[in-house]
Amino acid sequence: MSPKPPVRRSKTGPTPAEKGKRASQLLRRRLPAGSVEAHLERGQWKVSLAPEHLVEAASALRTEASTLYEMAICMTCIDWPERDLRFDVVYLLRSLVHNDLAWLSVAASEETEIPSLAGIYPGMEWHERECFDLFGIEFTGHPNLTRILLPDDWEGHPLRKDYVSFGEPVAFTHNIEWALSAQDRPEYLPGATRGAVERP
Amino acid sequence: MGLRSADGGLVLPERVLAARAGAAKAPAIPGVIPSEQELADAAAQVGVFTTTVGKVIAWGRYSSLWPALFGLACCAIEMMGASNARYDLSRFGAEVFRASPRQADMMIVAGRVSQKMGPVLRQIYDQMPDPKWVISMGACASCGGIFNNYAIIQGVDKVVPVDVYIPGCPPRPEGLLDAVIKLQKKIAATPVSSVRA
Amino acid sequence: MAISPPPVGDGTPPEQIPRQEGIPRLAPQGRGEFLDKIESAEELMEINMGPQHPSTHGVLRLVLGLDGERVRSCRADIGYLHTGFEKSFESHIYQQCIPLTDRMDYLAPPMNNLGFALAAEELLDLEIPPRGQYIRVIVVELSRIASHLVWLGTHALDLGATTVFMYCWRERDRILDILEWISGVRMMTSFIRVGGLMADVPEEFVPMVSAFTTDFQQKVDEYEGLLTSNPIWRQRTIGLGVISAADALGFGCSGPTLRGSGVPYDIRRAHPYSSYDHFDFDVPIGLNGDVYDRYLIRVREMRESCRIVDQAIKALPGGPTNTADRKVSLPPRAEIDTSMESLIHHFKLTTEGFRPPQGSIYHAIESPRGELGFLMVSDGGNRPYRCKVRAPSFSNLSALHRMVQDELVADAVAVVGSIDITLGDVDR
Repeated sequence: MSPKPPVRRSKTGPTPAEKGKRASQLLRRRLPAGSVEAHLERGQWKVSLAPEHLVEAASALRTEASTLYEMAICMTCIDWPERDLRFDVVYLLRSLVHNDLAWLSVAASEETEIPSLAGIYPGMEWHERECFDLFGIEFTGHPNLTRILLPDDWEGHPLRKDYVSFGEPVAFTHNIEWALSAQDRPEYLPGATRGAVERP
Repeated sequence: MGLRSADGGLVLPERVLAARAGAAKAPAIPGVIPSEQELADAAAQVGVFTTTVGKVIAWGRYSSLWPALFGLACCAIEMMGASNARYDLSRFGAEVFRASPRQADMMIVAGRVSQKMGPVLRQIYDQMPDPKWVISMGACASCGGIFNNYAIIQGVDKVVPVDVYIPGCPPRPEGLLDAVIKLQKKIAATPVSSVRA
Repeated sequence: MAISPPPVGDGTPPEQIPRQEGIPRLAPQGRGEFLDKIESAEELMEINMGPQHPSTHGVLRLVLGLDGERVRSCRADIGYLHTGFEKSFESHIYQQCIPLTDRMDYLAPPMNNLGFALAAEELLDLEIPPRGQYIRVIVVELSRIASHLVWLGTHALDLGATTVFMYCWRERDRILDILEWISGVRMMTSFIRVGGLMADVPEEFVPMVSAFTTDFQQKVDEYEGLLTSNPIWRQRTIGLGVISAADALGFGCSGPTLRGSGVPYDIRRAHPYSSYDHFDFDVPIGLNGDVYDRYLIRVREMRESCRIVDQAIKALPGGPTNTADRKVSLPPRAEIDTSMESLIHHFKLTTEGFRPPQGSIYHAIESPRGELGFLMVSDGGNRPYRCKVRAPSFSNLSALHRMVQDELVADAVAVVGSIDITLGDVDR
């Protein structure tokens, strides 16, 4: 196998070993000892904290001059069903002045109540609604925690790993009825429109 | 005047058949009974042509199809491309995209229909007055496309009856033009008084 | 090296920012008299815009609470185009995800391809040869121009300027011709793939692109001649839909929506990717945060993209376009006939795909709408374990209610158009 060419990194931003380092340093100073855990992975410092410290951490990151993470990038969740605290809620914040990216992560189960950051970053309001919609995580103090992408009466949370997403089977010769157009479909199959349009 | 036989074909009364047969055999006597060609020439001179009411109505309908704006996703961009200068949809009389479905007679469902959008699609279709036609543009509207999952309705014909399906992801603007032409031929072949099933 | 701090990061309201010469100051009150403000929310009249609407640029539903003609509240109801992309990514191998990404932000499909490919390549710790990077930049900047042309055409059409709509599609069809020439598809090209490109470009690519860039600047002059100094356009857009920089940052706005408020942030400059630091281009910044500024920024961005394409096509290096790593990129056809190892690589790649090591990264690129980011989590398998798409239109749209506050309902359409949302991006 031919050798891989060297990886070139950005010249204007901070070097990869330091992305998010300001955030981890500030949070270690501010929050109680032992409640912050940070590790460096692929050039990004990832900080794990408990839900109860989240609001204080976010407001500190936003307002402190040494960090100034003003831009709310996004917030999402990763589902690891075999863990006890199955959800890994990830917050990404950007500091334009320092050209830095903070990665905060909160481990949560289905019953954990995570405080909402909508009061600090207005942009997180819609991201938290999307997390609630697709994963079912409740955020306390959210101004309007309702479904945002799916219909209001939808049951289930699709992005969880135990939710099976399926449309309809692909038609082969053994189930050729699925290949017929809806007007010709036999009535026992879903989607048949014969008789569906009543005309006077 | 037509009666339908058991197999669905049209059965005409005997006197009508005899009259038609007789007319074809009547010879043209020069100066007394004009031939078909002479009749047609004389009519053209005074600006008259004969046809059936059905054909004229169908011609009027298919020459000025007014699409209801129903661009949902990527196919909508190609639909806009089809109505622009290079692939000119107004050659076929269909450039007047009406925002209100009450003023439209054709709905081009261009794009993927999600579960939340399905009832809205049906409501817009119901608001359109008769006669109305539906073109399902693209793979997602025809059968769900590449999205065989929880979020997309697998084919818009589960919600509204469709006349022409266009494959493609997205179909080229020429594909949409081809669909409009096919729809025009379908309208030309449809009897005026038929009820859509 | 840090970029200079945003000039209005302290929350200075836009009225206090000095304006450019020649642009009149039109305060919100100048657009009509304020009647007595109503007391309670129940007295508002709720008007529903959409989801089927000529000017919402897709299936967006806005519920506007009106006090006479003034918009006092705006609630956006999205999800009418939710396609479940993120769930679909989890059940497709990485190469199969590329055609899926095309359909998200469907106005600039190569941009999504590039974002996904760069994120996957960061997980694989892979670098693409210079020719591949330059061609990626050309394709992506052409698609940026194409997306801005659609935005300009539809925005102008909403405000009544139909000619601009026709003109913009004239140029867009030329760009789609170029994309069709290299990939076979007009819109959903899937040309940029993990490990490089679909294939090397044919020899007509360079003359076609050069011919396009030669006369594109005059075409932009045509559009500007119709709109920029047009008194109707200026009256309808100046001073409208203002958002301050602090608000924009809080909502997570990015791209022209953020730069219109004076924040000089462009990911191509801050975190250059795919050889953007080799090219010389300007990033336009607005002063007032209104609709007119965002229009000027996007028109100028079209010119700058044309400059980048010009530089890239003139300096296009030779060599391979795809990485030499055979575990990621397909071997050339000739090699399969002679080398058993290449045959096995080809077989494995097409059936199983590649397996990035475990880990998670976030990679963002500058799409025409703003920061398009991919948070990709790999568990060592051949499918993404979780691929979150940070859509720029989603965050930009969440700021809409702030921009449209106290504006006339007739101007709401102009504000929605100026944010340049793509519903495929918002709903995913």
